Amino acid sequence: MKLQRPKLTWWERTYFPAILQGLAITFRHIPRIKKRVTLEYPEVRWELPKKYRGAPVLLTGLDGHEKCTSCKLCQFICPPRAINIVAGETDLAKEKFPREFTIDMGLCIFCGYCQEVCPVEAIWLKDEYELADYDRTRLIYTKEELLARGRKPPYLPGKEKPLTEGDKP
Amino acid sequence: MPLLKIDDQEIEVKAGETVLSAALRCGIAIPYYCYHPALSIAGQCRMCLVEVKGAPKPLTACSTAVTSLPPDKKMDGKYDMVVSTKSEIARKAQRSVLEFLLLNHPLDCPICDQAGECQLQEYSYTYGNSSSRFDFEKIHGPKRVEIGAHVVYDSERCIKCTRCIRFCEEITKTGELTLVERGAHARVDTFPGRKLDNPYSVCTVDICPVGALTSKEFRFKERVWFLQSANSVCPECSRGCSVRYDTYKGDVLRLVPRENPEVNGFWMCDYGRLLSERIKELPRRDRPGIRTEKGWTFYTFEAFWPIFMEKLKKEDLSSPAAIVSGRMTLEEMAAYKLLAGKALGGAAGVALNVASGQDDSLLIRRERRPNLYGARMMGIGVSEENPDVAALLKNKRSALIIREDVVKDAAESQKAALVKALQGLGLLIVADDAFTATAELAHVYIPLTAWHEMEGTTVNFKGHLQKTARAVMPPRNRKPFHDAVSAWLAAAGGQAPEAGFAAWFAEVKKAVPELADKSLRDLLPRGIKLKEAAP
Repeated sequence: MKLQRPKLTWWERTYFPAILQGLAITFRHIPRIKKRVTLEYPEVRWELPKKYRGAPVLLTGLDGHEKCTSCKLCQFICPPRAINIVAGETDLAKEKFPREFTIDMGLCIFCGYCQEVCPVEAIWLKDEYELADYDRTRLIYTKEELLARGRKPPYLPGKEKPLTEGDKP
Repeated sequence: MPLLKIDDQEIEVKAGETVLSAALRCGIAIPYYCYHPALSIAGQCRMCLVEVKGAPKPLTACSTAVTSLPPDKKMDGKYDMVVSTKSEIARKAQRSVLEFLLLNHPLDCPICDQAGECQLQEYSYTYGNSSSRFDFEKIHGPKRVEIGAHVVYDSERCIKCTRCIRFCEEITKTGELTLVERGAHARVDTFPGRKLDNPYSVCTVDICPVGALTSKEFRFKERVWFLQSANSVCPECSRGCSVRYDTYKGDVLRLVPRENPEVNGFWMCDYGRLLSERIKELPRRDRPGIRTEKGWTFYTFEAFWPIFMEKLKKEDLSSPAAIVSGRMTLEEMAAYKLLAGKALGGAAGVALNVASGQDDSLLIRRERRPNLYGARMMGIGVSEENPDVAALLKNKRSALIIREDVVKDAAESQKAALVKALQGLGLLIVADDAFTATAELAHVYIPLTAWHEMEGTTVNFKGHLQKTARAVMPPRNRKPFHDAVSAWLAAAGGQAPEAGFAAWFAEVKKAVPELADKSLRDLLPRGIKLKEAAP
């Protein structure tokens, strides 16, 4: 493909008109006529949209046990394969529980497929977004960590409040 | 020959053949649960209902036989039976039967091990309704019943097809299972005081079309869609059942029989199946090693051979006692023959015939080694049953033991003498896939790939040749014995076929004339029967 370059006049070839145009935009923003779009971040916080997808967490059921039945649908659907589950057998009515449940937050892309696919609403993408760490190994969240994050408010919209650690039967 | 018409297809059938078997033969889809080609016909599940022209109601395809009509009564002038599997009546029957089967089904697919290979899932997707019209509390029954040492039963998932009951009655002829209670409360149970404990009990799990029977060993291990499968052969007796290894992340999780009418039919024994559990317990060493007074030193595969050659210069390996094994594939045996001719002074080698238990009427064989027929074919002598290995070592200064744990397999009375004989050797080389009790006594240990970690060919006691497959990638320093021989002969400065299954299979082809015009493709998936009788 041959690129067609516009024919510039002598005045345009001095570059002054382009520079002046650019400077005009810059000066227009100096008096802060428009509302600012940035925030003074750590002090000022952004009000999150209702369906914001932050870090995934595991939810605790009303019986005080994790809701997850280790069906591994989230592990199957997870596009970057961040979720790893080792299933085990339990005496509870649900028969199957996750012996290990890890999410590698270094891999998670916050797509929310795990939440969508879960048949028992056991995994939920919460509003947490400050997840950086100095050590990659600490980015692999264990089951206990994920459950602890899940017990903190806010709770699943439209669902009753899950039991907190203190209410545990 | 009666002429049958199913949908638009005309099929010539034998008089008395059922509609379902004719349909299966021609690839016409009729859903079924209780029918199994190896079992009697029960007509229990009603899933295979089809519309038969002239019949007042839908009939079960599995139990409706086709017979000849008199010439003047043929339908449409030539057919003896006209069947429709897609008509409105047939479709309605299929949909309704499936609705009944799912009425009290717990729908716990997320925790059910059968999910992914469940006929209920498949048929309700193809033939069923998308939602249930049942608004009441479902009937609950016993769950997690251990009806056998390896089998767990869930009555809520069960559709009462009675395949497992018929299997125990007709195949193993032990008859442990029966159907108790009536109607929707019916469930499979053992007779009081009895357990499902025949040596083929886990086959009931295979033939269970739903998740009612699950294997205790595989229970909750992994969802089936994560499994990677390899079609291979069971190494646990000379039957050599065709099996499928299901693995996940390098672990063998279960062995499942493959259909092979000439070898194992549809079945395999529990002992062979539990190989997946025994594999985990074997002590593995992933690098070749040499033992001196200071203890073991292990090397990488490449670094090992020059050091081993140095050691051989000091030792006498001219006429060693060579104990080979029926656990070796034909390729490894060919490699042994070559090695014996070039480096072992033509030591003939004896394949140990390890035997225990009794032959049974179904599959289990007394000979515990899969490839003894192959050893005879390759010109390797086979010992008498459970020989005294110490006698084989008599007057020998060195020995090479391949894929046999002679110390473990020795009778208790002979064990001490055998250990003493092994310790008295000047040079003991052990090549095995596990670091066994025998390997601990060795001076040189060469790690080999296990049966499920390599490709090979094996011949069962009837002369049926099958190909094994690599289910799991072995660690990089563990090689098949034929690759070790390639490296050995190369290090010794001789000519050797290059490493790898293909090159050594070519060697086997030279030794077995019947294989000359066969390619690997001909051996898959069920193997071929060799005409030549064992010498």
